[in-house]
Amino acid sequence: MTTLSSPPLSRWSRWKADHASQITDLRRGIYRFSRNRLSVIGLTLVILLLIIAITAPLWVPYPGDVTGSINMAERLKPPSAEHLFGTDDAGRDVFSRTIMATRTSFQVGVIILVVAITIGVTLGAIAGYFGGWVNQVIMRLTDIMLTFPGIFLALAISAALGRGVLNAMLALSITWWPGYCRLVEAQMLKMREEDFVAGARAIGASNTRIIFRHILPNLLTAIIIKASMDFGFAVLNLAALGFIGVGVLPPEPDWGSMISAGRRFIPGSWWYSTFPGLFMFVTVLAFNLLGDGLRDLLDPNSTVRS
Amino acid sequence: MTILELRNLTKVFGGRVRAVDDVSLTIEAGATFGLLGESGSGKSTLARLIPRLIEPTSGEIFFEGKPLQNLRERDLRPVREQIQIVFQNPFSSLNPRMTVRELIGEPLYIHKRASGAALDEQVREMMRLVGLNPEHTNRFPHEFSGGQRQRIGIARAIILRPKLLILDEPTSALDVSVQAQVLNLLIDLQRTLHLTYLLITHDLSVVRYMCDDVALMYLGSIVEQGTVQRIFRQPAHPYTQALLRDIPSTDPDQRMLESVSLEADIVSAPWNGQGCRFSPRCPVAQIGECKTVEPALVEVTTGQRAACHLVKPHLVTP
Repeated sequence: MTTLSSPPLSRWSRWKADHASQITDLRRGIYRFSRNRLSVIGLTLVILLLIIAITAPLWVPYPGDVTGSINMAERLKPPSAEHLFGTDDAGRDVFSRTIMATRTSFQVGVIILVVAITIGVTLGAIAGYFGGWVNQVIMRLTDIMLTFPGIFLALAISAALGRGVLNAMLALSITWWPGYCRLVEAQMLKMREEDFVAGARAIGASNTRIIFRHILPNLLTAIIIKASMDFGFAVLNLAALGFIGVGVLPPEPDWGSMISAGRRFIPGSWWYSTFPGLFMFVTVLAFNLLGDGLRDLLDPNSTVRS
Repeated sequence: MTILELRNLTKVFGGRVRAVDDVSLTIEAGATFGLLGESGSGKSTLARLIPRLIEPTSGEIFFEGKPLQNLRERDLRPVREQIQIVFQNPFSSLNPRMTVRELIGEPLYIHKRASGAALDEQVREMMRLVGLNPEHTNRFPHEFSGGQRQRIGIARAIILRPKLLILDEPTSALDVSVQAQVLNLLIDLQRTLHLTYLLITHDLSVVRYMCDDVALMYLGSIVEQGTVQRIFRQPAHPYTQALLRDIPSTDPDQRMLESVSLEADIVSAPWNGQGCRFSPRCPVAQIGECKTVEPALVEVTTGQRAACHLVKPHLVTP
């Protein structure tokens, strides 16, 4: 409480007073998260990779090598001060290409998840909330999608629509949404029986409002946890498509296609495949650790303590 | 003036469970109507049937003379502004992800009654009215006690200034010490806002404290109905008699009827669907009519009706 004599509160301190409880919750959350060393490592790596992905074009040492210049004189040079990760069979700097591939992987990963979550959550919410035949139609479709092994479906789509990063993205998005659809549908079935949903209907809220304003915010943590776990695997799958040769088109750098191309020069020129592979490994690991940490933090049912 | 009338309202779940079975009642504007029954008697289902949160299987609902049962969802909205519900459990009936401002202000927003600063002002005023600190608009439900949460639930229900408030066991989830505070708040609000209450409860003392009229429900059906005064002084139905016998009286001279007590509960003595639904537990039920014919709700004295074969007007002193 302010007394008459005290100076008027600044906007910041008023905001702080109004949101005191949220700030406490956040502090407690940060503290609990920081107690789990593995998830802190995961988060640190994710942030590092994110910075690399965003700023890569500004500092990559050989930007020309990324777009496909060929320099046969520098062919298959081992790691050195000049070429940190060595060079590939066309004399291009592996370091520059690996770093720029991080950018591609993150872009594609984000887009895949955004598309998959948008489709999956919308369909799952409709199926779970309305039930009945709507639920039957959507969930049987989801079941059918789930029976296809993801990578083969992606392969088939890429084969049908042609190679390229856009088609690979489309293919992976299509294989990814059923997971979110099932997650949201199951939670929705449970949530729609909650008293607060009946309460929302009693005050006259529309179905759209109940789904998006009342129920989905309660499912947000589950979706975020799943997304952070999935991100690593989306990157991995993109690399797998690149490895087979239906993903990112050369000369665009991509971890999968670099590993695939470097295979022929193992073990002599080991650096060609190893460094992109290492980056891929770190990315997947980082997101898994982060996802685990978030789950322990946000999901009250998981009681794992470090 | 009659504000709400139910005619032969029935709700059957899954084709077998008759949660509400042929219920008819009328509620006068400005009154407090008590609906009394033990758990499983269909009270809460009835509460949700009235604003059609659950669809009735058959029967009619009239609100201020207008039939509701055939209205489309969209046309129900203006009616739902007039009929609001306060739910039993204040821990599950408030969305945990919404702040108090959002919870209390949402009805205004949905019905486009106010927005922005005007909405904030109304929310604060409503919080003062129900006895909450208006500084706490940014808090979440989990930061409040049970009684405070129920006050949030009440504020949310009355902010649209409804005419009829359905109170579904508003105090049964609360500590005894808090119950009286909430009931007194409801009495004050009724006076200032001219509300009509349909109070659902299993607590006889709440009925005696709050209500003008009362109906007793047993297995989805009304077994006795009348003014609180009449029924508490001279219960006609054996079920009512048994219930009343169980409340400790504050007056040692005023002994309740002693002859009746219940031997079993709803689960251990199920009704086979024939005859009087109370007969398996009834201490005075007889072979014959009680086991074969369902008794109708008939007038015993002025302002009191009961559904029992054994109640003859001469048993009740007027």
